[in-house]
Amino acid sequence: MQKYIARRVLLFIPTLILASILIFGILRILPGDVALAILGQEAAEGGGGYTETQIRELRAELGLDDPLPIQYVKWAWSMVNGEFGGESIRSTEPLSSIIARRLPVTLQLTVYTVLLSIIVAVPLGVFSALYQDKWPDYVLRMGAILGQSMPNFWIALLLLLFMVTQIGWSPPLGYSNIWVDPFHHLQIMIWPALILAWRFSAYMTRITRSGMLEVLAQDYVRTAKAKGLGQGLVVRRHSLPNVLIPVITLGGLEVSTLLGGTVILENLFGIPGLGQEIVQASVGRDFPVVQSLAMMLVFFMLGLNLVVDIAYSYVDPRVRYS
Amino acid sequence: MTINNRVLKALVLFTSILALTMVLAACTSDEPDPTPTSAPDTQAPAATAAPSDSGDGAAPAPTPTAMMMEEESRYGGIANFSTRADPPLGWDPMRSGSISVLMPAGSLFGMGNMIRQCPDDGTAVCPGVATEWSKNADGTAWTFTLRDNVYWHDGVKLTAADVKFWLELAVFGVTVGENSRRPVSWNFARWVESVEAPDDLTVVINLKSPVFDFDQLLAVDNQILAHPRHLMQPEIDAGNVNVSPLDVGLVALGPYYLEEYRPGSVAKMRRFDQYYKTDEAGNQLPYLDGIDFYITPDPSGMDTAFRTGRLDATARGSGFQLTPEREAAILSTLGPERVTILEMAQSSFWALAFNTLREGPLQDVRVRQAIHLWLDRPELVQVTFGGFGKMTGMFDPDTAWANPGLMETPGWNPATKDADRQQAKAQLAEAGYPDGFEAEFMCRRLWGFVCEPLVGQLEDLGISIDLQLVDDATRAARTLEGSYDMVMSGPTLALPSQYGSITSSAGTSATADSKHNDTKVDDFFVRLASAGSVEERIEIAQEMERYIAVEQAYGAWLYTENTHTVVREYVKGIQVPIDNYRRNLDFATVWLDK
Repeated sequence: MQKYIARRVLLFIPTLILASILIFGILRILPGDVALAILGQEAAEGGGGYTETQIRELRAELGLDDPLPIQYVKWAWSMVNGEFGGESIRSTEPLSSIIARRLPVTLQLTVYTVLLSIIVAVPLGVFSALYQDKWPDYVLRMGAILGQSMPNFWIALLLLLFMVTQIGWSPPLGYSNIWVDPFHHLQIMIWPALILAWRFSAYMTRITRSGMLEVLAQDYVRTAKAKGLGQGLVVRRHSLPNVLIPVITLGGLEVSTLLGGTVILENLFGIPGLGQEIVQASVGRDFPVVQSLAMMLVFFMLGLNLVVDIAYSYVDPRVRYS
Repeated sequence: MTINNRVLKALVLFTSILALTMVLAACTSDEPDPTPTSAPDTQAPAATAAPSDSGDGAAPAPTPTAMMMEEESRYGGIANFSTRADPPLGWDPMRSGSISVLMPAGSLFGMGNMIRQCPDDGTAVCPGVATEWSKNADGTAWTFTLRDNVYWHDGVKLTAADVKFWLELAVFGVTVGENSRRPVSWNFARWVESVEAPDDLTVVINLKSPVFDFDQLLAVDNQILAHPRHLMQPEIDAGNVNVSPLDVGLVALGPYYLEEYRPGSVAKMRRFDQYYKTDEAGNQLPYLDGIDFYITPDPSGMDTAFRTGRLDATARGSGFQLTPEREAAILSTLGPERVTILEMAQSSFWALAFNTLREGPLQDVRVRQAIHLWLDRPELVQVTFGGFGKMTGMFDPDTAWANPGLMETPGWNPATKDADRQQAKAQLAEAGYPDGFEAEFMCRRLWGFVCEPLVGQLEDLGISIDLQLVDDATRAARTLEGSYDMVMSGPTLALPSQYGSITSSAGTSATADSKHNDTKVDDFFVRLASAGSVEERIEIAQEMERYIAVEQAYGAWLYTENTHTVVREYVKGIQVPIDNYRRNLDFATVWLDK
């Protein structure tokens, strides 16, 4: 087991380095000089001019004078030592402070989504399998397909429009911490969590359904039924535990995509999480923020994969012995 | 271990991770550093003097003359306004002229500095924290007398030394050891040689050469005094040369102080009882108990919140000002009687600028004039902004800088468009291009929606356009190189002299959009600087407009967009700037009728 974990961790590190090189490289091969972009934007909108000296000074200020490998090493080291890439060009706030403030908000949204999804998806998946090819199954499958096929932002816009035109209500403005004002907090967070959960639970429902159908056709289930056990007991004790293994694994992997899904919804609902920061930074050409936050998201995705791999090996010993 | 136990353990592990994450997340405070909440110091006396001061330059107009004061104003209430993003760069007006700074920061910092542009007349200068100002005979030294009743939000009295500190920081920057702070490219900065503070209430600015419109250059509203010396100097001495207003708690001079700022969420301003201004009746400003500026990064989210009463006003700024469709949706939900639409000109003067230094047809003035005559501005306004705009020359036709009647002359006048277009064709043929020609049209990518309709009209004239949408860096680099035939120009300008950087000859300004070697254009800016009176400057500006936009047609000036924002009908007293939507945003005179 320890060897397996060590192998996974060792694979995690080069993957992370490769991803960081890609993120750093992509932002560097985009056309244009960042210093010129900043001064050019000011000039284009403000009507002011700029000189070669100003361009040189700004390049130096942004650390763009160094050769690319040096720039990369400086950035990578700052990611490791807790500075997370220095500070934002746009707000001048240290990135460590931005991440400390915004990451918990995004994590909360993710947790709400996962909890909602688990509560809903597993029972619905089981129910759908038990009523295979009957109308409850059709209704649930249709709901799941809709949830998977409609973009989150589109559902969010429809929801907002519905609330405005039909009930004259919209979520309150100004984010509050759950411990400071729980009711206000939930009024803001529940909508994006529900929208994300629809998609996420749709995926989990389908996995649970197909897993349950497979298990229900197994000999040991038939034997349990032949012994005279009731359906509830057969499902709870003999079928569900085996179905949950792939559900946990695939659900865990899918959590990482949720982090990306929050980007647009955070903007729409005014939630000050990482997604909102990334959008604002992209619009404002704040490359240190984009670069470091993208790296953070990659880190979380890879980290979740690692956790899921380890958890899976713990649940199913065949994985670590292979 | 049975499979059931293993699954159970895995579930427990998974749930524990989630729970831990949840606890960690929720335990993190949503009130970040820095959260400046210094309450006004009670030692500061209440302001009593009404602004009734004059300078020697322009017509002095005490502050609230342009506001909608048809009803009796009243105190109290918190207004909920929208702003599109967190103010960038530490809320520092020295480093960002973004509307995201100006929208909430106006109420915090107040508008302008010692002096400011008058709310109802962009050619005039009004008092700010100074009551009087004068120049010496040759226009090389300007003396300002400060009010004796201006306090920072922490109760410290404003003195001439504070203003000197602010001016020197802007004009010269600062260097401590290896750390340098860049000077600011504000309009007035390049003329300043030194600043003196002979006593607590007197500031003297010595200039490198005579500048008779220096007060106008200094008064431009985004040049805001927002840098408290008593808080910033120690930071700078410690090597933090780029200290921002946010770093020192946003202690400022405006009508509201900051109670709480939660980035990405809300900035809460509350009434500063020692604010130095009063209304015409001598009542202390501001009227409101406070303003909550909600950060609404998505326009549709903002519209929704306005329609359901969460917001009392929508935000300004690109993408957030209303389109005709969004305005109609709001009106249909709330009804016209429940909203007030505020229409403001933007002072962004869109123009198609020509490069006459590049070999080709645009070196011929007849070709440039043909384009000027051909373009159908009203159609462009309709297509580009849904009708929310108006034709302009180099200046807003509703301001004194513009030539009266210019919009009725060929090129602009819709009534003569058919004849103008025939004339355009004739001039093109006369110049030797009866079948048109090819041209490279460089356009900032963000402005694609503005450039694309232009391409259609230019191709109707016979010009085969190669539209090149480029990022800001490429645009800046190619502007320096002059590697284009035409470029879309859309600067925001408050004064004629600001055109210097974008229309001067190539020898004077390498960043000019219009490229030419015409030194007569440079002379206009020299004359503007040395003109002794506003009337004289207006005359020069009008002459410059006729020469650049009509006679030489170094660009085809098109239109300015009108900003539409909405406020609820009970929001009263908003000053609507006549010529620049970025101005006059301190909300000192706003009150709620509910």
